[in-house]
Amino acid sequence: MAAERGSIDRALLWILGPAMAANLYLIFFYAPTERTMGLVQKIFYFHVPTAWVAFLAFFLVFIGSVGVLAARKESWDRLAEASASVGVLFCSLVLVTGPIWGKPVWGIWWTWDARLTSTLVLWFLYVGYLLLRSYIPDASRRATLSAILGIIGFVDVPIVYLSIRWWRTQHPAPVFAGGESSGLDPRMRAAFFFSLAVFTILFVVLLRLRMRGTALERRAEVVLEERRRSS
Amino acid sequence: MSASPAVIASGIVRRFGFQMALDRVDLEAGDGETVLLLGANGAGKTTLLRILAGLLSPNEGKVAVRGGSPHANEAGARRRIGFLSHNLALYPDLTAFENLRFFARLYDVANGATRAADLLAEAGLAAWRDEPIRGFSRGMKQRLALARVFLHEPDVLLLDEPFTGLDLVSARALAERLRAARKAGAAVVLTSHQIEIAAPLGDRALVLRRGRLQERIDLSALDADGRTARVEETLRVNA
Amino acid sequence: MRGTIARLGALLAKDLLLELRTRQGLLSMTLFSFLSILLLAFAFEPSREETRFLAPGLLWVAFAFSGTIGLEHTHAIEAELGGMEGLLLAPMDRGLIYLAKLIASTIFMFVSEVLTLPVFTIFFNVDLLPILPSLLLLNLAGTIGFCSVGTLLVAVTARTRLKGVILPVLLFPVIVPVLLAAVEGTAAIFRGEPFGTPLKILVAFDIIFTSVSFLTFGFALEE
Repeated sequence: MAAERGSIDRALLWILGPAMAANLYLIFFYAPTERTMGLVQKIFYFHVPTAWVAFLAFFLVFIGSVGVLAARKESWDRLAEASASVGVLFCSLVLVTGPIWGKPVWGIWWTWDARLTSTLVLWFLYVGYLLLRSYIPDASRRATLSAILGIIGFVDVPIVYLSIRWWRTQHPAPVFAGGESSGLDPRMRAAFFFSLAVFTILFVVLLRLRMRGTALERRAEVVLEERRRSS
Repeated sequence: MSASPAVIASGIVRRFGFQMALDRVDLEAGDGETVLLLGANGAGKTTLLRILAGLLSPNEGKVAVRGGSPHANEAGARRRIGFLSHNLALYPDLTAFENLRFFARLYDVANGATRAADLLAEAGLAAWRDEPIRGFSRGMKQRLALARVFLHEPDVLLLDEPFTGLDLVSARALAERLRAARKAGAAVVLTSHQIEIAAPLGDRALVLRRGRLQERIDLSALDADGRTARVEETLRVNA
Repeated sequence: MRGTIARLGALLAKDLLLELRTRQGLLSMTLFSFLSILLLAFAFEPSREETRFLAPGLLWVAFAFSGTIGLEHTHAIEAELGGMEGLLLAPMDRGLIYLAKLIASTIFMFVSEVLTLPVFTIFFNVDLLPILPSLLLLNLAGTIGFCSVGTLLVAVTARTRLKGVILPVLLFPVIVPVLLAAVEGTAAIFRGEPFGTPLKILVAFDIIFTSVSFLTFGFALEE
């Protein structure tokens, strides 16, 4: 089983390397440069896919959390924790690439755009989830309590997005990045979807790495504990 | 023992993190039986009682109280359990009477107010019935907590160190009450460090050591002094 | 069913009785709310015209912070002599504990808000009397939303190290929709405009989160 898992990971890594290279080529050479924004617009190919992954990861936190409460197995908790740990990185990346894109193009670091603001709230949900976990030393209680937060947080995400979007209609402000797929040159669209796929694979690789890491950690702890008890 | 014992626990395993608090423990208590749980601090007695009361669920194994799982409150199991731990389960800013009346309502006790007043009188607390219990001594709080335990006339009693803080008179009164409950067919499981008072009550004893069932002793054939001696000897051996 | 309602009533009555007797929860919450308004008045100079636009936001910031104090208190009364254990032993659905705590917290927070409004009127020179019914309705919807998640999260954080320290950190991101809708709704009410949409958002939030919290509350109480 471990060998099989190892071979899946190796296969993914073998795909990822060239895929990343191909992605960079597509972004910088294949896709045409946008007329008004110029080179900076290329961030779009990083910004939006990482946002998609950040939300996907939180969905997996939700799945893991439901698994913990429903099935009471440790593996679900590992899924939730790993998704949160990796997801928070992607989420941070979105919040960093946003202003990097925004400043040269629109002249402002931040705008209370619905998507960006929802991502900010998502970031706080992530951080809160990880922070809560750090406050609970007992593994089983940690799994249960953070699972509750994971479920609450995920149910909240669409509501947060919709309420911010409504809030924006009350206070119109510049919108980041219009509709991504609308009015896009077909080459841009191809590059975008390819980037989306590559970032998703990257996420899966990191996720599996993290899950393997925590599984090994756990096994090491069990071995140490058994040794301690028998001594 | 009757056909189906009132309390059955089999193969109970309970871990806290890596700590094995209970390792495949079995326990049975039938109608009119009193089982003593013996063992050093940390042996797992409190954990076992909490599992029997439905406050904890075991990682492995099954528990049935009067035919149902107490954790899931099957077959109204919890309604029939009277449980006491060092958590007295009382509200310091409510009066003695209000505390009892609250629990009477939770347990749907008929004529709750009257019953509460009666139990207060029995516990010798009638004079303080309208005093917030914040000012009560430890012994008074313990007596009130015991009143709470017997409020809904449980026929399964799970008591963790019930004699704590009680003076000799109150302790004897409790022992009397437990004997009466046993005669009425209640199943009792209790732990206590006060052997002279508790041992005579026990029909059987289970000794726990580091979460494992070390020994089972049958005390039913012995008289009060005999039981005390037997229990003391067991504790010495298993210390 | 009647037994369930009776038990819920008993649980609620116990919390209300305790509060009436000690008044600690309400007092600390309301005082904190007053202090928040005071601090905000220092920060924002209420005499200026622009501040009136900030008023709804300032009000709800004060409510949110004092609300966490109230939530902590409602849960903390179970801690002293192990009252929660008594509730867990009782032959009833653990969700009832949640509902009772939710209703109690909502009542206390709502009362605290009502007491804060006159202070706010005085400091910020906003005449609240004509709009009071609408304001109270919106406040109630927002308070329920805040407490629906708050009651659950206070139970979750109570079993951790350093308990209440992280409650605001966990709670505030989740109640962002409540804050947005409540502030916008309050602003609309101040302007004399319809506030149907924010009210609907609040009610939707209340229903969704009361349900989810009710379902998961039992897990928070387990050992």
